Amino acid sequence: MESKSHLVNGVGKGWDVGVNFVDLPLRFGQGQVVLFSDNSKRKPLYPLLIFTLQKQFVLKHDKLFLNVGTQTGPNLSNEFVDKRIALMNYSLVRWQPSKKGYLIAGPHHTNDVFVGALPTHQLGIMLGYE
Amino acid sequence: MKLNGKWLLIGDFISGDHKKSQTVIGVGYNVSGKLQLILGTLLAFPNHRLDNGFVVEINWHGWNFMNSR
Repeated sequence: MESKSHLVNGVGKGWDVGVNFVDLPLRFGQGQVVLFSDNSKRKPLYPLLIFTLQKQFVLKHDKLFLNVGTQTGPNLSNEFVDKRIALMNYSLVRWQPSKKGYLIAGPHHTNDVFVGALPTHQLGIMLGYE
Repeated sequence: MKLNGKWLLIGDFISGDHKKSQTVIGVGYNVSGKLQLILGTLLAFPNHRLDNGFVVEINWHGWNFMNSR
């Protein structure tokens, strides 16, 4: 089981700020409940305490928006030297064709601390509907 | 995608070949104007080396989101 907690607040003019405690593995019935990894030779690292900063631009009133943001922050570890910075940067177009919902799509940039795979920096796409 | 006043469909996809490269398809239920529950399936796609799973998401909004849609 893995827990992700997000506390994000709109601060006006399209800006959102928040804090996220994510990628916290939980294992029940085998002794240690909360798992963590700060071994930088075996990424991804977890859990992560990361911060959200996002700005929404209105491209067409009530129909089309552009959200540009980042989720960036360190893994939790006892030693400062074991901390690394995880990041997920994104630029998402949000299209609301009707009041029924909206589609989201766009590119993202992340790193191995967050997603655990080489190369160190990766580009990809995100899609969604809500 | 809103099905009616209470139920909605959601979906998410992240490309790549890493830990986050998964797809989620689920349904949401608006318990109230501030509380939303989402249940979904976590699919090992596009990264087939990951495990499939189950997602439980609890969203609490500081405003009445049903008034803003």
